[in-house]
Amino acid sequence: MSVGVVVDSVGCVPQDVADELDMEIVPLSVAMDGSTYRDGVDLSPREFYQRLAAGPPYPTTSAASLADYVAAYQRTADKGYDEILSVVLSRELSTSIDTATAAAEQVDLPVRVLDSRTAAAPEGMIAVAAARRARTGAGLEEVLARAHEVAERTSLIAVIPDLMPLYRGGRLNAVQAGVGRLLQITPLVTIRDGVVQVAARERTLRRAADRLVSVVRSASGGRPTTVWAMEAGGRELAEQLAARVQEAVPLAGPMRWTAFTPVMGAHTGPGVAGVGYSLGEL
Amino acid sequence: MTTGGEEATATTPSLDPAALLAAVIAFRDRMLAREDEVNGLNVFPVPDGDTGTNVLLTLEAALAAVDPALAIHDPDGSRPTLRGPLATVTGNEATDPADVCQALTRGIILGARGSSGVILSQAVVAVLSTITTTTAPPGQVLAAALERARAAAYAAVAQPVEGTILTVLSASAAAASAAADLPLPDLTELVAVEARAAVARTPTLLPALARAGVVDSGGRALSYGFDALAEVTGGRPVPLPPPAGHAVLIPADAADATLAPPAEQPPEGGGRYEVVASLRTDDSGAGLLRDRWRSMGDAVVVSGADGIWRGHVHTDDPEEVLAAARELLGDTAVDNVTRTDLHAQIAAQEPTPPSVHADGSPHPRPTSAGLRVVAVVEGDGLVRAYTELGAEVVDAGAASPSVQDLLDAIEGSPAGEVVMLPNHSTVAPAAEQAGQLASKPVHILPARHPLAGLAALVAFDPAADRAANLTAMRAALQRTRAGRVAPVVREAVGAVGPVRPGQWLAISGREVVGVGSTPVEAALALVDHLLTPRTEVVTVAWGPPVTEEQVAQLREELSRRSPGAVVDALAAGHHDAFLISAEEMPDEEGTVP
Repeated sequence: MSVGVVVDSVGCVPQDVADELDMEIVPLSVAMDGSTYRDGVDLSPREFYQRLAAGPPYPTTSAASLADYVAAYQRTADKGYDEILSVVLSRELSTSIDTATAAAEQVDLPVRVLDSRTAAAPEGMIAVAAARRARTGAGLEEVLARAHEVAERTSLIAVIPDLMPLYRGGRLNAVQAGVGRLLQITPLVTIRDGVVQVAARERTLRRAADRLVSVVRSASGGRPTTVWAMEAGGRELAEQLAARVQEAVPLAGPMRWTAFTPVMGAHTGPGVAGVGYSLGEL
Repeated sequence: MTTGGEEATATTPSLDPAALLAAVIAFRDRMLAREDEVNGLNVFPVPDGDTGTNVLLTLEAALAAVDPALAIHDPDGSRPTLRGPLATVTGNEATDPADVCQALTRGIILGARGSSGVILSQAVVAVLSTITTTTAPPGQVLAAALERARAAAYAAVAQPVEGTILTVLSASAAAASAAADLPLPDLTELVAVEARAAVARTPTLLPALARAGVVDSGGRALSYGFDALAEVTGGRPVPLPPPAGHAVLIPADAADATLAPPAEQPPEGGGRYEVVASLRTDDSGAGLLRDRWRSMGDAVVVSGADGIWRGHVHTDDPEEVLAAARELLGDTAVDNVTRTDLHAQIAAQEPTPPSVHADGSPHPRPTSAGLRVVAVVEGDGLVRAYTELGAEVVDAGAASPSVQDLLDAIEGSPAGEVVMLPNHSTVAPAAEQAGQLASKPVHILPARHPLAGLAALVAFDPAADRAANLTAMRAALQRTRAGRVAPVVREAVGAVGPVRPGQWLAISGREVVGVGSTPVEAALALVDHLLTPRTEVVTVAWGPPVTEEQVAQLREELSRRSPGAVVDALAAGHHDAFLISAEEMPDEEGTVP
């Protein structure tokens, strides 16, 4: 009994990690300038953020296609796996989970679809931890239990340094976000209960950075922590934050760099920077 | 004293609901005539201090609750469109007195606006609840009621300040207690006289008033209430006193105010000792004594009948006035003498601990149904900023919000628990009242400026628990210094020199910190006062008196003076020229490993 792990492109699993753990990545779709691209396949996050920064009309994202999901499951079966754990971004953020579930009926092996209740690095971390457990020969239930266990102690925190592109594009409802458009407020976002939420608001970027570091530090509590840095076209800030987090918490393994998923980036704007973090090793 | 039997009782004026209602109407009519005067009793010569309006609207709300026809304002507190013949009580004779009491009580509690309105409402409620629960003679009822009102008012303010409406209420209660056996008309007259004297004394207790050359506005309003009560229960008209003058002196600044002792010489209502005595005399003897005492002291009341009289006077030399009485009426005609040191009495007022709501801890229920912020804000821009940041806003644009307005916002919030940002010192007492009446826990933070409140709101995290939020919001308030720039509306003199209309004053808290010939000049004086080396964020909210060019000019100056600070400017639409806050960076908690 061997379990193969499939995750959508929103999980931002670095390609080398996916290769090492033999994971399949299902691309979500990005519609841009009249064409549809597959996230991470036909369009790199870098290209996406450059396009996003260029102004309207803004790219839009949509769920993964049924064909891509069926293909990913089929490839996993072809590689000799008996069962599949399909890790999907939160139902509140995308309808991908329905596609992932529908695709499961079109393949001959058992597929368990897991709503990760999150997205971006935390989703990827859950998938990676599950894949690692699967590599030890664990069965589906045990792999699933491992995914739940890691999900409990995994989160993300990111800074949105500039809200103006979003306001201009009408992409952020200020009232919903709880962020004043009239003030220079730097929000920190996280994903809670499956949805993107403003975790904190600060009046300056410097304070927001302090806040981000202190959030990760208090979550870590001095214990070894896995950290994935996330960037969305604003490498300088992302590097500063990553360096400060690295100083503030003991790392469980080397820090990985991930591109902040365009699916969220389309809503938060370019320049978002932050970290996904998970207590302990994956 | 009640020797007249049933017939006498029937003709003796009593403190019944109808009399109270009539007194409230008479009070309202006085406030209608004196609204501007009381509004003008402001220590700063800028558009400000709406005590007169707040008291008037508080009384209107009370009357409207009894019968909408009695009020002449619209229920929302907007200006009366027509000031026709005033309503009278006669239409209410069919009404059940108990209903009148209930309606008055409810109306005045919920309709109270501003700190004076709230204290006043407590006084009226105390009288109403006392008259409905005791059958004692009216004088004793009034004395008990005023004592109750005094206790309630002192308990309601976190830090009672003398030289305010509290002092006037306190003096009236003391006078009523000392003379509770007088017939009601005499007692109410005496209380009214005492109240007026206490108003005149307020500048000796509060240096800011002395410097401004004004009496306390809330005290003045309350004194009109006692005049109204005296008129209604005494059956004699009590004329309006000459209007009080506007402020001509501006209080200097905090340092100056703390260095300077309160003015030594009592103003026209002074006299350190209150002397009360029983007198055996007749009308002519009483008249002689009245004239004699008036040449020696203040607050003179000599009243009574059937050979039993009471005398009351304020003087610096009690023995002198008593000697004069014995000389006129005979040695044995003066007894039951009490001498009260008014200064000592005032000094003895113990500060009451702040209301439980100010702290938040006594509420047993932790947040579970969610915590939200309710804030009192004025001006479109600020209302929008607060709303975008997730607060429920009570718009203070038209008038200081009533207890009902605040209560509506609290109850209307979907949250199970509310954090309140009153944002103005005058709103705080109404917020306390609303917090006590609310069906859910209300935590009232000491925010006294809309931009300080904004700093607290930015620190609010809907997902965090109550304790964390209150701590973070309080810390934000402590880090934030704020002030405003307003136009001078009348000539005055202060530590900043003489000021005149056309100039602009910079005010922070209760201090004038600068004056300028343009709003920007005054704003820069304010900025110099607010900014510290640790200032990290400067927020400027500007109103209609200011042009965009002036805002740009101020921004430019700010970036020169405080290059490290983030400067935000927003068109707030409030009535001041500028509201400015300076927020310091927090302690380096965030970077210590």
